[in-house]
Amino acid sequence: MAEQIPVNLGIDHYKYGFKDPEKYVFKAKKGLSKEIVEEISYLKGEPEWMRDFRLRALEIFMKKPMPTWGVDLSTIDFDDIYYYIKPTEKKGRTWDDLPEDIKKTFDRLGIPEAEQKFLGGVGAQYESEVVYHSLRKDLEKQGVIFLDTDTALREYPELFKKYFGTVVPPGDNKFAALNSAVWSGGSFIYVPEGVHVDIPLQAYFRINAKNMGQFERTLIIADKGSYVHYVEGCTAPIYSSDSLHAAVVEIIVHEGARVRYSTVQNWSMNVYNLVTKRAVVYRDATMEWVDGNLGSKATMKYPAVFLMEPGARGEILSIAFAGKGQHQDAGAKVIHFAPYTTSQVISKSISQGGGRSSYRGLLQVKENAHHVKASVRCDALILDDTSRSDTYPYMDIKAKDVTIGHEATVSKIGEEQLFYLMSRGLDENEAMALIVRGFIEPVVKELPMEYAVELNRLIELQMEGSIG
Amino acid sequence: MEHTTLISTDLSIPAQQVLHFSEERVEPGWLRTRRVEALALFEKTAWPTGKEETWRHSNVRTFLKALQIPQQARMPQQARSIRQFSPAIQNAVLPEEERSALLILSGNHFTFVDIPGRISENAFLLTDLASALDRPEVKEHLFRTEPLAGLSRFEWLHRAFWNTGIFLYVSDGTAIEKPIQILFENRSDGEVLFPHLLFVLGKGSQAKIILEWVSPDGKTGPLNLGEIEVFLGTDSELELANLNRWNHQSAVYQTQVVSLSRNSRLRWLTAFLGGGNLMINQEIRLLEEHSQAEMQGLYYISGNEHVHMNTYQNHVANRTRSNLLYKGILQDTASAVYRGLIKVHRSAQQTDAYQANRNLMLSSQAHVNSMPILEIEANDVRCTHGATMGKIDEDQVFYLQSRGLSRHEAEKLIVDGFVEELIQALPAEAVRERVRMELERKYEAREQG
Repeated sequence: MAEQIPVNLGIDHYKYGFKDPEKYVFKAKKGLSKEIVEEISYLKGEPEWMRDFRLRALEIFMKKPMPTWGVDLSTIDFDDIYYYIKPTEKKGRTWDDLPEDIKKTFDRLGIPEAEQKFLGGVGAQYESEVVYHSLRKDLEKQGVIFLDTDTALREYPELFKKYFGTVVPPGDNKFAALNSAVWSGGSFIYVPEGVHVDIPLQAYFRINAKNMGQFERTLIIADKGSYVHYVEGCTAPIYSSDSLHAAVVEIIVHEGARVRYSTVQNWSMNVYNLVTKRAVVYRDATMEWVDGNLGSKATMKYPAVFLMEPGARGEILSIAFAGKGQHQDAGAKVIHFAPYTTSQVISKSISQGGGRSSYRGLLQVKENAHHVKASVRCDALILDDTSRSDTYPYMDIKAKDVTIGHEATVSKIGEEQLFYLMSRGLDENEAMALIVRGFIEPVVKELPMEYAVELNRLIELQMEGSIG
Repeated sequence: MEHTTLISTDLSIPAQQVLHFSEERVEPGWLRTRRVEALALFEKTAWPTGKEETWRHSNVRTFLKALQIPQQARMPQQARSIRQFSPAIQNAVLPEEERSALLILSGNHFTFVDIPGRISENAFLLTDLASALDRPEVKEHLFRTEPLAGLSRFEWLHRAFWNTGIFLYVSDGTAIEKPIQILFENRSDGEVLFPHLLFVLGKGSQAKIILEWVSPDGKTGPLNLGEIEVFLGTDSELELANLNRWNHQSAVYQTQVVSLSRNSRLRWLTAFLGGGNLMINQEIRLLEEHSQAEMQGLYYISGNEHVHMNTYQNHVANRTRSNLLYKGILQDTASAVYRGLIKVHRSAQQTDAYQANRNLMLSSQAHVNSMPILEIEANDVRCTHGATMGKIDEDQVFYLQSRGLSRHEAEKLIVDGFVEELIQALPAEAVRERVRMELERKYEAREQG
């Protein structure tokens, strides 16, 4: 066996690893307690029901044991985390309103540029609070609501209360409970009946402070026959101690509507990324998750689709790249509650430099959910002999009239492919990068152009010097 | 006769009890030591809670409730003829010209061995395990299997108190062409049975085994807690057919592991044709280079039967291959759990592994859980798995009906076609025919739905 050349990637290349000096309007003390939760709620001026909701969730969080499956969570110290940091007094409606250092951060991420060129609306979250928000005028006129979640609670209390916490209740899992107790920021989107938002709405999430926990909460409601594509990106600077990101995303796709939710997760290599994402999908509606996981130390994320009524359709496309020191435990969860529902999962994962990527999926067909069609396809590439790939698909079928298929392969890069490309003048690194790009192409092509380019570039960066 | 029930989870068994058990069976010192060691590990282990990955969707209490510690040191007596066994066993015996040897074991009551004279005495040994304790191969191999998932409290208890068993040894270089038939009658006077089966194939040897578990008419034990250990020597070849024909009252927990040496080959087919509540762990350990194994499973589960299969394709060495196909039919309110793991260790480069689980659902009340799992730590591998669940294809039914078949005939033909490739893999025509009849009987007895 060829000798291993040390793999050099990830952390050195992490281009979002810059950090700003910490200047905050308010920084709650470390650790989690009833007082902290009450303080967060008080500072936000929330209604009583929300404060009670948070406190109830905190109790659930305290009671629930840590999950013993998935990634290793034993090093998370819940007492060493800042649960709430407020970076600025007011929210910017125009870019110039923002404090200079925050503006600089998002400039480096390329946000205003992207907005001008391409996006219908954009939100940017820095630590716990959304610092910038804007929505194109014509969309606003059509009744589209795109706000940060805190503002939405103030301005649309009834709509908010009707849907909040209905898709992911606090008791769902330990980290959903944690998020429910200390959530702050995130996006709130409402698309009225029949409205097609033809350009993506976008949000950026950024953790800047050390030992910070970010707990954004996103709620998307697509009313009958509407369409929206929401895109989010996440980054954080590199600190020697770990940060925690535990978000909850709830999506309601009403009759005939379609929602697409794209994520490129590129947290730095010391972030625990533990996210609960779920959509309920009604008659003839469609939900699509496109999920790219590149960064973080450990990710547990299984975008879910609950198909509630006939004709509902769910699609989950995901890419995971696990490099040195990373464990990507990503996957998909689809539950067919109703007959005549269909779903498709495509997962592509790559492990390299001692990284571990796992696909963990659940496919469930409930009693009486007949004429269900579901397919799952997982492919994994292992680039060297120190890395690991796992596939844990669970299929739980309680109905007869179903067509269910699951397929998975794990393999290395084909010698012939490599040889062919090198005979055409590419060096080994380029050839490998090209093959990997081809491997993930079916998912990448579903992303908006600039994200697709970004994702390909990130993977190239991670793979640089990776030949072993 | 007294039975200690083991429902209490904090139960402790004094070492004296297992020593006494072993003494009464007049066992050699090395075995007594191994029993005592197993008991010590039993004491250190906790019962599964039922929340473990390998227990999900099955009820661990079903097995715990039926569990007792064997008290009787009874050894099986030689039966004078096969008429001492139940009709189900008598009917299963292959005609003499279709087998090379026959062993019947009825719980720990009777055993019957028939080895036609034309086979050399040194070629192989087939006997009940208690009679073979002076054999060096038994001492060398007994309890030497370490499954990938480790041993649970059930297996440790089994190793401390196994109370009946079978030993087969095929000497180096011996090729036995016709199948060796082994019939185990699950007969009991209310006592639990802990059968231990040990098969050792010497270097370059070849054998076919047809092993059949049969519940007698009427009498059946509360629990069959068994273990099969198979060791394949360098360059050896084994075809192993394992037929499960338990009755509806049966609770069965078994761990079956085949360890493969360099360049050995295994073809292993398991058929589940009946059973009340079954939990079967099956593993191939590809320990040395160029070993290869094929695992096939066929399950037809009806009524309110529950079958839980955990399979392991454990690739430890370089250049090993495994291929698994488990196919099942589910009807009525039956349920099946299939959990299969392909494990490729870092040391197992150039592994080629395949795993497929296919399910045909004949009833909307039936329930299947399928968990095909890959854990891959080597990069130069090719591992693929797949799982499907579906009903009878309406297009196929339509086509067959258009050729003049009734709906019933068409459906039956499709069901037969689904399992035929596995039936074909069985090593004797009489067994193939019996399996077809069992399947037919099950199919005809189904409730509509």
